[in-house]
Amino acid sequence: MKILVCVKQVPDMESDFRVNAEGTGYDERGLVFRINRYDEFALEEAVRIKEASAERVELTALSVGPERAESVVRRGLEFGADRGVHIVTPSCDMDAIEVASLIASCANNNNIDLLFFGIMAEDDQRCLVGPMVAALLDVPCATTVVKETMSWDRRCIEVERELEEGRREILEMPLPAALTIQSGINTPRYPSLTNKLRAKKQAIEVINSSGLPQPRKSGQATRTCLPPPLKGGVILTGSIEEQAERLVRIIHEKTAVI
Amino acid sequence: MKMEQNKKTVWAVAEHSDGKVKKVTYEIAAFAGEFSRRFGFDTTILVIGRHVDPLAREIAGASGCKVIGIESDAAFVYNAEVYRHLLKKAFAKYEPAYIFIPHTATGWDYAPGLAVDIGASCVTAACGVKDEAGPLFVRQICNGKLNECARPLSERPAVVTVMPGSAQPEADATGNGSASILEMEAPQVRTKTMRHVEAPRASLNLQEAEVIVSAGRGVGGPDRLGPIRELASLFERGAVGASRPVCDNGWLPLDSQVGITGQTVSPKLYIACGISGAMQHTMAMKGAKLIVAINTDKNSLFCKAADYCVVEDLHRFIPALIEKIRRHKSAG
Repeated sequence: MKILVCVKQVPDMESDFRVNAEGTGYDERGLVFRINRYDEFALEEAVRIKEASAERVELTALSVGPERAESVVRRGLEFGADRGVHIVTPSCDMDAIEVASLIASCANNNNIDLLFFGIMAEDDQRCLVGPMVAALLDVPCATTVVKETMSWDRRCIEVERELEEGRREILEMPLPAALTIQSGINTPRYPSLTNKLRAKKQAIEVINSSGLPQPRKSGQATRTCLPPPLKGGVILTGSIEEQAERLVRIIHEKTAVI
Repeated sequence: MKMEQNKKTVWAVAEHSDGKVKKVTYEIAAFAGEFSRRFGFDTTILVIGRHVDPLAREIAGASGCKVIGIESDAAFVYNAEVYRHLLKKAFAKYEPAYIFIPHTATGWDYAPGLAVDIGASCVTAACGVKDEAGPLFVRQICNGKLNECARPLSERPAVVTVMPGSAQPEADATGNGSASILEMEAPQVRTKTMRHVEAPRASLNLQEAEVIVSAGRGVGGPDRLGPIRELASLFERGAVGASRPVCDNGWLPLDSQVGITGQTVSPKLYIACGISGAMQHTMAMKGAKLIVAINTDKNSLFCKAADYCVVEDLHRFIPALIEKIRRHKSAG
């Protein structure tokens, strides 16, 4: 049984974002990078399946990205992945379909039974790579998963998907299959010191993206800009007392709830 | 000639469940309609289902659009593989230039796979359209701190998912709507839908509340919710809400979550405390009459979505606000 968890490196979301000089994305200077939070939930879920399984499970953490993305592959090893794979790309300015093609060719070579993704990346918020990899591999895919149960003997998985307004949908899929994991499905662990030390020493398999079948370009041009100011968004000024006083007046005048 | 005509069509794909047309269907129809008027296309609404005829006619009547109902036994319930298969077949027949799909738990489930199946460009979570020598789709990135404009390749079709609430449907006055049915064979699929679980009959209090005070991660921890609760309790019909991360962390129960996957609310007053503002949260409370954000980050999406923004530490500001409200009430 082989499980692949795909993880992405993203900037810390509390950062101040600026548009880069080319106008194609955010300026990376000064940003601190870390693992995508949704991918941590996916990693945790996969590690739990491995731990609960009587069958031998080989868990691989994989990331596509520039040199610096190595750290999130290592994060996967700290969580408990057996293998770390880093597909190194010249930049991170790639379309979802290009990233998905690279992952799919790697998964294809490894006979993966189960693929895990976070529901989306926190930076570009596209929700694309997971379901695209599944389509390229022609395996069933469930998104926004909040629970899953493996049925080892029947080689299938039951998943619970979150729909709007708290409704849920329960599906059964044969393996191989792909899941994109919603936040809150579990509480991602703090890796143990032993695992951290092991991960530090372990070699990561580095694959240069130019050595893989060249991904299909979906070729959309993107341009990034600062959003226009929304609505009013009046920022109150003055001391805390003065702002509180003013806010009470505003609430009274505009809503009459007090 | 036929080809050229077909290239001028855009599709909006309807969403429905339990025999009811969902509101996003009319929003995506309005979005596609506006797009068509601007860029010279014709709009067709597609609705997929079993016994789809009444749904197709209902949508045609309400929207005034041309509607194609795709009838298939396999579509008795939403299933990503079924939707992709049927849409791919219909695509081969009509070749629309754009396929608009609501960005919902259903839409983002099948749209990316459909794009791969038909070799289309794919843009997700679009919230607007710009015209710069052709259409550009505007979407938010980095929690709304930046916007991205995506231009799909002109020689390919494009699958575009659109944020709910991005267009306002109008009741049709033309009576021009028409519905036709296209029957398709049921495809073989691997994914089986077992059942649906209804939402717990939870936070009716959020739905009925006049004032919602919502906690975000910026509150700092489950033991620091006191001021939030106290502030909410000052209002006759006040309730405590929460952002997704707060519920994920178990600081507040899941049924207090305001968001597209949680509760959609429209109180008179919404006070967001320490919420940076994911789009899925702001979309779910933008019906509030007055929105106040209390956040130390004035660049957060929420501060921009709010009517008024207090850029202070909430643990210092809320006690001051509580005191002023108390004084106001005793004076009034």
